[in-house]
Amino acid sequence: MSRTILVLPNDDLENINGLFEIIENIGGAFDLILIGDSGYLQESNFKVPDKIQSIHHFHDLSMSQPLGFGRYSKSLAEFIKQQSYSLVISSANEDSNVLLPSVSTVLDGSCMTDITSLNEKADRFYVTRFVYNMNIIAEFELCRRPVIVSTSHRSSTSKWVPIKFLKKTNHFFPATDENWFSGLESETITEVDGLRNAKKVLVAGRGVSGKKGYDKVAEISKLLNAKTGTTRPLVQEGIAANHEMVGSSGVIVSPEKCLIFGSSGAAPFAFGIDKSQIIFGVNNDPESQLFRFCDYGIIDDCSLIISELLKLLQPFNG
Amino acid sequence: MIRILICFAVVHDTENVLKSDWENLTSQNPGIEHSNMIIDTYDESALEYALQCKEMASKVTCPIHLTALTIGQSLSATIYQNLFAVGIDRVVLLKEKAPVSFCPSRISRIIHKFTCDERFDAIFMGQQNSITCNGQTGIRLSNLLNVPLISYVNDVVFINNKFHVKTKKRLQYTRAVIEQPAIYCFFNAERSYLRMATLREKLKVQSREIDVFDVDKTFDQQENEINLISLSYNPVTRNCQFINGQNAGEKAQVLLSLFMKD
Amino acid sequence: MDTRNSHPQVRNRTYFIEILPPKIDSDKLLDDLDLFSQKYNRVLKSGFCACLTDNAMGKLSYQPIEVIQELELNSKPDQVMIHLTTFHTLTQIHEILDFCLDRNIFNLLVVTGDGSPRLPKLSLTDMGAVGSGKKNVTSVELVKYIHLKYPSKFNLGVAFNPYEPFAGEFAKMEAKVAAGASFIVTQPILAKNENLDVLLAKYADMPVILDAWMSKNIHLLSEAVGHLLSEDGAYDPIANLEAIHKWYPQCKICLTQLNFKAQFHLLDPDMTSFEW
Ligand SMILES: Cc1cc2nc3c(=O)[nH]c(=O)nc-3n(C[C@H](O)[C@H](O)[C@H](O)COP(=O)(O)OP(=O)(O)OC[C@H]3O[C@@H](n4cnc5c(N)ncnc54)[C@H](O)[C@@H]3O)c2cc1C
Repeated sequence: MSRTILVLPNDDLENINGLFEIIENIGGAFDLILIGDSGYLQESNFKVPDKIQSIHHFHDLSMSQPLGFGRYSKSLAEFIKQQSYSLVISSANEDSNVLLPSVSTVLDGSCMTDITSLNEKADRFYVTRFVYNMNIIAEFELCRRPVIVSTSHRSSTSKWVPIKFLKKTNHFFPATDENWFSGLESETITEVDGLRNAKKVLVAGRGVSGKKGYDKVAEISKLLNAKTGTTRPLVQEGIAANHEMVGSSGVIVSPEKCLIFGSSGAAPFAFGIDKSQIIFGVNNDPESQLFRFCDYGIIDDCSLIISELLKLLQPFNG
Repeated sequence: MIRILICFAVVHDTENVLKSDWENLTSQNPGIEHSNMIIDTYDESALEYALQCKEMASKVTCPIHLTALTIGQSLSATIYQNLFAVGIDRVVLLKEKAPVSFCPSRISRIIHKFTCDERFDAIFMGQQNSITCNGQTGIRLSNLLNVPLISYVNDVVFINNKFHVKTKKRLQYTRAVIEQPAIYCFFNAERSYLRMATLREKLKVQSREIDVFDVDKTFDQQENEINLISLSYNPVTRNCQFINGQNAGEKAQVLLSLFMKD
Repeated sequence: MDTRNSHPQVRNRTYFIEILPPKIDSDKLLDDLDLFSQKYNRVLKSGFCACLTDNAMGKLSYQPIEVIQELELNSKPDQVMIHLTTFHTLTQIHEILDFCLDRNIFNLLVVTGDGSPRLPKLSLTDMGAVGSGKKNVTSVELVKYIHLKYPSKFNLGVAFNPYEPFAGEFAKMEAKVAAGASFIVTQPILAKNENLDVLLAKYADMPVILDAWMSKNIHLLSEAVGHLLSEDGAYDPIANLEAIHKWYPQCKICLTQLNFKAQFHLLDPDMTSFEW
């Protein structure tokens, strides 16, 4: 039975290379299902590993359906069944994490999103993923076929061969005509201050003790040419603005350096900082979960560290 | 009468579990039995929005009835009394001895069976469970019931006998009026906490009881699509190096030099 | 043995005694309510003043007014003080204030509060303070607001933290007094304190109530004073209370975390009337 990689419109080259890397340890030949007309298809440097045998390009007609995948997942499920894929792997994002379980349900297979590893032993598939608010890693066997998984593994590798040598088949999904809703409207959320793409980010958590502490963190940010983010309690207390909230409900930052003051490192917050290259954390509780996410930690009262940083940066002020 | 079913899970409150508490972990059990049990935070949003819809409906002629449903061995009085106190009309426990945490298809089949016996106009639930992170129950249930699924629900209001929904996915809000029975999965909703009951509301419901039904035995015989092999402590996602010093000044100095280094 | 005789300095004084309403997530609510009413009635009967907290240390609890109302407790003027934080809706604030007036509860300790993501928060718009240059509502805005909406009705206290840097804390105190504060309550006192001495000299006409920490839990005390205290030397709450009387004989004292079983009788409570 064959396997396939599924590439969705919002995936970028790093997602796709991440998927290629994951399948390196998995036997068998793979197909590549590309959905939509994303930029990577036009890129001459889009490359695929030897394992990829053919490409199916689905020209998107109803992926733009923003409320759910409806009949779209049924069409995709039908195609997967037709091709007898035993494994479908895609990168994890808001679309795939709904689409894949939907497809799996139709096919009565096994599905797991956000896996961190995938292994095949004696024709059985094993995956790992974080559970218990990221405190625990669980290993599962996915028992039914097809096995459908998503992973957030990314890679910037460029060792594959160019796409042009491969056979490509075009497909068109029927446009779906959904009548269970009316008055559909969409609005793009505008980003206020570039926190998302900042190279340096400072985060004020609840431990900074109120507005004064937050203001001091903002002052340090300015002096360090960084952006200021915050955790949810400060937003709810009206100290910081909603667009400054970092985390799963707020902004996911990916700076080179991220410095966090007085946060407990709760999972929804940690989700928002984990893509940072180097994370520094200050917390007065040596047991704090925050340090699990840090490359460098300071166990101390953050108001003292903040004051000292301000003193050290005074010469640069003005 | 509009009937909303709200599915909720009762889970360990991991925010108050210390690092050292995870030392009791075994390959099949997280070992945090002593930790507080709470309603999963995503499900809290679903419950809160259902209550808001009920409030909106009470101002017009079409009342809303709320049934909150959970699956498990038991349900603590503190939790269900609180649900009654805030305005949930009925609380149902589908009693299941076997653990269901990592069995999304089984959970959805159990809920499906319950919903076949009773009619609901809307099903609200958290999109994910913060412990198992399955994120599949709503999706599977939508397929079993053959009703539309709305994921990433951020806000719902009830106007003119219809649910008006707002979803938030990536950098986009989408709004629509829902014309049919549907499943609403809440994710990072604007109101993420269930309201608090007043003391008077709490005292009024002290003697109220929940409906308990045993889960059909046939569910035990069906093979799970996912098997938990083992649990292990997530050591650290990064290897934290501590910056030491005689005082805060010294630590700040090292911190600053590392932060400024290219 | 009657341990009262060993502590003559703490007896027959006027005390404010902090009582915490039951927590929201209590799994023995009825027992907790019963205990609360026993403590409350005991404090009032003894002629002391009961200080009822508002979600103390951010731990979600029932509101003092709900507990008084549901348990049908009596309140004597001057013998009940209610804490009020900024973590309420405006409607709740008015409900609380109207209830207090109705029950002759005139003493309120207004604090910004620790809050919790689950609690609502007053906005500057609620307080009519938009354009004041402030970013969020503190006790200053709330004190001002209460005086504006309920002129001359309440006796409003504010908090003083002697462990905060001097200049900032005094600037805050000036703003609180200018807003209409008429008494001051401190953080737990553990030694003679320079900042406190300056406060007492500066606000000599204003009642200053000193907090005495009555529990042996050093960890919680560290949280209350905002710095880590050594856990080696066992903390003796009664000795500390005696010392506070000695250091600051002119001040009234509020007992926090009082152990009603083991400590209340030491106060030899037999006050005929409560005097501020
Ligand atoms: C569905 C859902 C989505 C959520 N999404 C988000 C989100 O996107 N972003 C987000 O931030 N939160 C989110 N939350 C809330 C999240 O779970 C946490 O409650 C929140 O992140 C806690 O913020 P914090 O770490 O600042 O505060 P706390 O958890 O209160 O931690 C404060 C920390 O500061 C330390 N501290 C205290 N005083 C000092 C001092 N003087 N010096 C040094 N350290 C000190 C303490 O030890 C503690 O560890 C979400 C919750 C839910 C349920």
